[in-house]
Amino acid sequence: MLLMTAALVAALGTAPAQAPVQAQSSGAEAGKLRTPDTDETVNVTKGMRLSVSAFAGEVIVRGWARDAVRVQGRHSTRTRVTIKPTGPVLAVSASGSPGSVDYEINVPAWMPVKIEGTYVYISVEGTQADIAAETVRGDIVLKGGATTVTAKSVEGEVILDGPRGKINASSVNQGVTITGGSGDVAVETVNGHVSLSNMESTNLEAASINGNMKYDGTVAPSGQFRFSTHNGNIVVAIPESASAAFTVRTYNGSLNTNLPLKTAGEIRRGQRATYTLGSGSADFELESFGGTIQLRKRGSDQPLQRLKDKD
Amino acid sequence: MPTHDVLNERLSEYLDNELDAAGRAEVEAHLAECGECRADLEALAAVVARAGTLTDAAPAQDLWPGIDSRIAPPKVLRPTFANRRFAFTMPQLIAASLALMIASGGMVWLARLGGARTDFPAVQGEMSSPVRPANFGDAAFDQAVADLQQTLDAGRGRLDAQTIRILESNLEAIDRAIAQCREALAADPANVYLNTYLAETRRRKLELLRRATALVDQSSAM
Repeated sequence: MLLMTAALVAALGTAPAQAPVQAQSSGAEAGKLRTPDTDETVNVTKGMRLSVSAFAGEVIVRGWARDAVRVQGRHSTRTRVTIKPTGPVLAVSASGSPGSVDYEINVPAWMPVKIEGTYVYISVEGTQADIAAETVRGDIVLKGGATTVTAKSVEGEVILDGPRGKINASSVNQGVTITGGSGDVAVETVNGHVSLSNMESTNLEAASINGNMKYDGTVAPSGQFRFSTHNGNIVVAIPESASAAFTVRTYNGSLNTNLPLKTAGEIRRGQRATYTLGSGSADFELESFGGTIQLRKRGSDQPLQRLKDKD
Repeated sequence: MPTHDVLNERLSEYLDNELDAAGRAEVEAHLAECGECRADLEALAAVVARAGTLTDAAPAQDLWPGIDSRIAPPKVLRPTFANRRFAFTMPQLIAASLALMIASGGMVWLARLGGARTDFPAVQGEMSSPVRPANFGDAAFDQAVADLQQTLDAGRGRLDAQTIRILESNLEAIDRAIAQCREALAADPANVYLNTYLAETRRRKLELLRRATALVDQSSAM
């Protein structure tokens, strides 16, 4: 990873139009074979947070049980990694030649982490605090995180496992996958899919232009859920015992379900149609201009009945 | 047979062809014997037709003081308020839309006081002048898109080719969605879903453009 990105970044230094390839999680294992060029441990106290700024390479952060931050960096000899406490922020950055740095960082599980990069793969696991990760070209993989979890990539995939709290995930060109998330969730893509599994969200908003959407999870009684896509399909799988009202809008699409929904009246192209499951306490808004909407019983393969015909 | 009030409430749904066969039959039977509802239906049809022909227009005056003075304190709620489900007739929705557009005009005027960075023209006029509907949507959107696109084009050399390609490809995807929505709206101008969806999709284009220009700025700082 290091050699690859170093070469690519060297090219970038003279010709910005020649870009690195997608940053991926390929270098962590190979990188361990090499002694870190930087290896520094700094004691920290509760209330401090970590801020990592990287140009290219990868940033892998793991939670541990010590009140200290260990930064290991693998980089060229012309690059210098700086670990600088400034007030409550422990800032990690690189200077010198514009090159790739592969970081492995251990942080206390309570420590909020912020990572910003350009051609950077980001991975954070084992922390129980705020995580903010943003990159242009690179995947983001977060395991855990609480209170506020933000992950944004332009060209990479975003994968979150078990985030809790206020979750904000987006990718412009790739998909967003969240498994086991709980709390308030906002997801956005343009061309990528949205896959939400084993969710326990109270409020959820998912939007895409061309992406398919899938939600599988519980329904909080007063929850509000909104799914909107232009050309994608929407699949929502919830327990049959859930209580929810569904407002469905499609223009060229259709609606299929195997849930025992109650409906009122005839539904037509481009018009709002409302269905109720149970007493209808949670609110679902499902909108797809041209895609199919499926409302499914969670864990059931029972065939679907078509409720909304194309006009 | 439902009461006059209930059937009158259904006129907008009748007009939008949203009632099932039984519902339509009830309304039509009532219309045959109720002149008041016939008049309301004609008025509704005229409003919908008018809504379909509205064009964008800049506000002619400062409207906010007039709006402010007319906002009445909230009425005391009936005891059954919490248990009611609400539906709005087409005139109510259009009145609300007009009020929103007027309020937007007022907010733009207020925003104009915020500094030289605001892009909207100053709005001037007499408080007592008659209220006219205003729609800032297209003009403001087009201007913002043009500005951001210009910034992005100027910074094109500072982003790598693949990133530019991906951003442009995604902007095109949004443009296609906007175009399809506009096409659908041309055939069904009063469709609430399409109008809302168009506004939302345009907002997403602006957000992506803003993000793209932020990337240009970041690249410049490196």
